[in-house]
Amino acid sequence: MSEQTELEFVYVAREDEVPAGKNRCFEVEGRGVLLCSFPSGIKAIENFCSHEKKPMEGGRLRGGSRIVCPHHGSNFDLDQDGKSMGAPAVLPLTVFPVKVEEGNVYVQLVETKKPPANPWAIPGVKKIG
Amino acid sequence: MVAITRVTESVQTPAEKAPEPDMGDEVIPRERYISKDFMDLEWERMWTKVWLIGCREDQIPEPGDYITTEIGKESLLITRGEDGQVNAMYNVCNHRGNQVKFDKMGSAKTLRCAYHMWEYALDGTLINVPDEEDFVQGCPSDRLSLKKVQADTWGGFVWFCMDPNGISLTEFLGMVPEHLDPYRFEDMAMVMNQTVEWDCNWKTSVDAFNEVYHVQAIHPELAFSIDDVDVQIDLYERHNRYLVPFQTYSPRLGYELDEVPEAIAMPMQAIGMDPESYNGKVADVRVDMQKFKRENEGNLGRDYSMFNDDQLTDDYHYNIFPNLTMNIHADSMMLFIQRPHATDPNKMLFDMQMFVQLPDGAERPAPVDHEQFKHGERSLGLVLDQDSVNLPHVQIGLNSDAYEGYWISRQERRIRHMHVTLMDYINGKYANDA
Repeated sequence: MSEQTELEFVYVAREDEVPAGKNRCFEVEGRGVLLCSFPSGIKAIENFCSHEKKPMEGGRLRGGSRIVCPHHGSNFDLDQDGKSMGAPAVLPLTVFPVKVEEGNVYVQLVETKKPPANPWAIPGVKKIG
Repeated sequence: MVAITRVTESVQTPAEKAPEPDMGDEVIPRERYISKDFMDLEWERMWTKVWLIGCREDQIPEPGDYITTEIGKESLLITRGEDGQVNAMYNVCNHRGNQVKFDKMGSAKTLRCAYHMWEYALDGTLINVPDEEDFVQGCPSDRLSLKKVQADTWGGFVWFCMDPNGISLTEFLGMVPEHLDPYRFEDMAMVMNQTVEWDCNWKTSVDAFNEVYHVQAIHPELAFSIDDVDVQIDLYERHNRYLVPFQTYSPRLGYELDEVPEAIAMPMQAIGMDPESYNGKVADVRVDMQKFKRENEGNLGRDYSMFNDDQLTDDYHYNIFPNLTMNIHADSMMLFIQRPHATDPNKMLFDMQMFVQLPDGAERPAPVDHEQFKHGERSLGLVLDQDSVNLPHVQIGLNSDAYEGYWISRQERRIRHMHVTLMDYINGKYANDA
């Protein structure tokens, strides 16, 4: 976490390159940054769904902070750190902290949230041996 | 592409495909999942007739140890007697109906009801009633002892059956011991024991694990460690299974993997194989892991002589009717026990227990403590979170008048088979077993 707070904000695009109520993906340092234009301002996520890793670009924005995956319909709340609000996805999206200055959008490229390496691992299993 | 090879010769656990019964293709009526009347029929004709798991033997290792467990509206008390034998009885004092024990587990020389101190021996015999002379009608032990149910053991588990005239555990299990004795569940250590309160019928949960059709939809991560297509389904008299190849990948991916995925690399590393230097095809890892385990069983502290090669990697996944789901591997077993709610067909208790086999000669640690919580209060891990997220919504849908019932595929035929067995009980096929 401390690493995240030290991360620099990097430039992504001009705010007006994303039409109101829509989203658009920009490549920054080899990663897809999806800028989403909500009524309250720009929010940003990494441009793939936590379910099947398909692009989120083109997914509808709903309410103040939700995006719907255009492939299988999971919706995620970007104000709850990308939490899945409906199946099939259960894992969160990667949300990038955003800063807008003089119409320029910057994000902190935080680490991609990954599924557990062992999908079967269950919390609370006692290690033995 | 992945080309799954399967063993054709059994060591003990049969590998061959069982003959397919004709089960028809009717819609499975939703009423079985939502109706209180059907729930009552299930109780009267099925739950009170079958053998059920009560606890692990090593949860009550010493004389005087006991556990309590709930099934539907009943609470059962399971004890280890002075003679070392296990006893199972209804957990209700015959004086005023109090539960003799409220705690999940404990240890006692005798069983004393906390209300008026009626005292029972560990086998349930009434041995002392305070002010007994005040009962003008007497306190006959043969009438007032705790009501016993059948108890027996297999696989390190204590089983009970509420039907005093029911068939033996051995008869009920049928082919199960022949299939599963090689895994030596009795030697495994219990490393997780959690109960989750789920808002669905117990069958809604059993069904969720009786088909792999959902894997392509909700477990995309598993495409990189299991083959959810080449699955052998075997339907026996009461029980059923499917065999799922592990440490391989799904043909649904539609391309060949050229790098060992992390979910396969980890189990390789766990047995001492190096995924980095592995120079075979990813599709061959499964068979090479089988060979490696076989060749290195001594170093791994294992004896795999009772297993066929597939058992060294694959999930031999069993449903022991009605409510046991077992994900069985050579070195571990994940058990789900699906218990009905006392009164509500829309609720259930989901027990998750994990067991691991110990290296030969290692001392088995005591079973872990039990925890219980509500669905959603904590993560059950990725796969089970994915499995469980739909279930309360399935249950709501089953209650909709717009919904007729299960319209299911061949891939889902273990569900149909479980219903055939269930309806056999409801319709009295097993009523005269004893």
